[in-house]
Amino acid sequence: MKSFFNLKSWRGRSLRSRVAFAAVVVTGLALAAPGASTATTMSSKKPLIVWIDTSRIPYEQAYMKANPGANIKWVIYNGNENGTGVLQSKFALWNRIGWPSVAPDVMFDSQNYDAVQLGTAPYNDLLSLSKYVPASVLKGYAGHSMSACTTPSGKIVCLRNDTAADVLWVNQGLYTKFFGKAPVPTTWSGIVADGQMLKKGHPGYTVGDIGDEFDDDFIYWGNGCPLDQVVGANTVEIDPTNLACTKINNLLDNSGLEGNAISTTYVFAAGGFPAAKVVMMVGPLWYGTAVFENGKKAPDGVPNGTMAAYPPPLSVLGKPITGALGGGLWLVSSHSSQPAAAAALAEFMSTSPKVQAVGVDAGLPDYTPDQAAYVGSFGSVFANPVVSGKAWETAAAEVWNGWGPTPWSTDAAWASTVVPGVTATPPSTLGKQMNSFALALANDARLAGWTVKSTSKCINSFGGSGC
Amino acid sequence: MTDPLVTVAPGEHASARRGRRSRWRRERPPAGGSRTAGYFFVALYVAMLLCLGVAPTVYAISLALRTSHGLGVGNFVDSYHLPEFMPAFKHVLLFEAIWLVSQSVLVVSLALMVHNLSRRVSATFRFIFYLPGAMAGAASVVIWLFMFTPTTSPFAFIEHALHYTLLANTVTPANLPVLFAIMAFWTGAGGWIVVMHGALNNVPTELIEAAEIDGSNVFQTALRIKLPLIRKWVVYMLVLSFASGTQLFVEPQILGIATGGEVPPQWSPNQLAYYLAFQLDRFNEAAAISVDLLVFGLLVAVLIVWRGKLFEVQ
Repeated sequence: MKSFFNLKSWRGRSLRSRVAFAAVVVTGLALAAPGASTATTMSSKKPLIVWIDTSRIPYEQAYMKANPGANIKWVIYNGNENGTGVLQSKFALWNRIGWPSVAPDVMFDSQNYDAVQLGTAPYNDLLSLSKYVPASVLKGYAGHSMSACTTPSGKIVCLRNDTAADVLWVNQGLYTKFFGKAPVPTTWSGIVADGQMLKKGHPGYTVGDIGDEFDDDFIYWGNGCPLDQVVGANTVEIDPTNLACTKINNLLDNSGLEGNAISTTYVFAAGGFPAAKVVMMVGPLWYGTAVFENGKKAPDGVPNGTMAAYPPPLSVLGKPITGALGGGLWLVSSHSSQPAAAAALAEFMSTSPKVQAVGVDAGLPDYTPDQAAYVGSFGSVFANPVVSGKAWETAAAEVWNGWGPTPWSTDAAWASTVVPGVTATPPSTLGKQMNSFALALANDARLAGWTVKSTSKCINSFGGSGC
Repeated sequence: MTDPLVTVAPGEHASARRGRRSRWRRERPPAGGSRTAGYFFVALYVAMLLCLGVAPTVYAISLALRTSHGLGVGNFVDSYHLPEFMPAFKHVLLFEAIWLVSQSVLVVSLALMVHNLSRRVSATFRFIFYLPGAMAGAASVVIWLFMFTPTTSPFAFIEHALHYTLLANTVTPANLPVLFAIMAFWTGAGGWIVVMHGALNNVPTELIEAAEIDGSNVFQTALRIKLPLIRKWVVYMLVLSFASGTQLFVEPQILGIATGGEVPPQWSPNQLAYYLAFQLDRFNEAAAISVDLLVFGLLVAVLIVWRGKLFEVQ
């Protein structure tokens, strides 16, 4: 549920560089504020104000190259990075005191769940785009991905930028070394079986990681466990006792792999993550260049051309679904004085192959007509570019729409309730911590004024007394 | 010689010779001109206080009392029933208990120890104690982020002894009150040691000499003579620290963002209010929680002042 770029640029580095990065961003903001690159223009019309994050600067350059002389004021902000709520706080204040002329017309947003919150009451600050964007374009986005842009009443309040669906990353050389010509696993139990073989025969090598602040996205979202299922206006179903949830918990907890072949460290740990020991790992598309082929030498990285992407494993209940970890959105303000121009710009950013083909690092375009050209540019980056490209496209279409856009972060709840336990020595199990995770989600939902539906005694009890 | 300020000088001069009378004289209200200057300086402060202190408080109270059905206490009731409300107050109270006890004991004992050292050594120590206080707020959180991370911390040996290998092992829900107490201690203790030292300098030397002549050792002098005489300063420290402690915000907020949410964004009451106002656009309930904090801080301050006899004239 977090941005591709947010994670790559912020979490994807050591603590030291995080701090350095923060300093750079702060300086960048200070520099950008007064002199944000205003396009020279002959018209005296008010420029469109577009807010983007630092990772989207190549998009700005691509746009200006395709539309020279466009009257746009580009402003750098943090992309509403997880936990900062820049848009929420600014919109809330502007709704009280009136919208100033510096308010943005178009915004890039790195948080999947922001659009529906900002497009519905009490905010109601996003433009309904169905009037401005042709239906044929809206149908072009991968799988169910536009559900993050659709309010309960059916309004389209954003356009997708990129997708960060989960795939199975495989170190092709290591896999052939240990498993010969056996096909790459297509199920979770297949991954666990391979892990058990490695634990016995080649200790130190891993088949996954569950210690990150966002691993709930592939463990539960990717397995169809209803912890964030929007079932009506401001109503969410949170059901930790569902078979999909208990089955994946039991599979991983009983495997004996947690803390060894399924590592419990961070993939972005400050002291380095042994990426060269990973034989396979379920993770988002961008892990390919951010975690593995990250320019570092072994043990923290592997050379280009080492990893290949395979389709995500079937869910524990046998469904072809997966989770996602990121993917940005383009929002248009309903307070814009030039709604048509603003919507057109958002559409161009989201769908134009000129913008959406700026490099393998940028993330797979969610707009499917752009995908073939994009995966065609893999070259020698991954071990098996054709298989990897297909796997990316498959995964993008398989992202489960059971996890909806809710105005709270499932990752933050996971980070505060489960991560301390699974990363402890000795680690606690997922099953033991399921209730506290689900209760934290339910509390977040109730705090946001949502109704929680559940069959769990724990969640329905007062103050969690029945957990 | 027409300047009224200068006319004070002879009295001052005479004070050396005439002892008692001069003291009475010095305490007389100053003559006209300086009184105007006094009003001027106070007026600046009062204007700032009205703009930045009183007006926001009045606004918060009016927001808190405004509900969808007119004026009432609905926002207070609603915010009280939020699932995060009681836990947030419990977190902060636990943090305050750890912090205030350790701060009182350590600040007072360090100040007493430093006060016994020679002047130059004591000044050096006070300067060193004060240094961490120079890095307050957000800057100190970034430094503590390094200190709490087992792979980068100079105190990693302590964390390894506790089987901590990742930041996530340190930043657990059970550890949070202790972590924030450590941060708050190092930010504030140095300043308070300097204040306590100043207070100790006001203890009359005759008193200490008399005690020593009566056979009091260093510890007895510190605990029986000096400590009771600086008691009011300790109470003063408690009042101010308690109030700032209930408003804990920056430390959990930044630690939470830096760890991807391991500190929930509603950990402290102030964070909960911020979250309601700026994440959920519910200003009225947020204002109700702010007013709760104000009332809570005032009640505890009144209690401490009353029990600690802070304003009693000796």
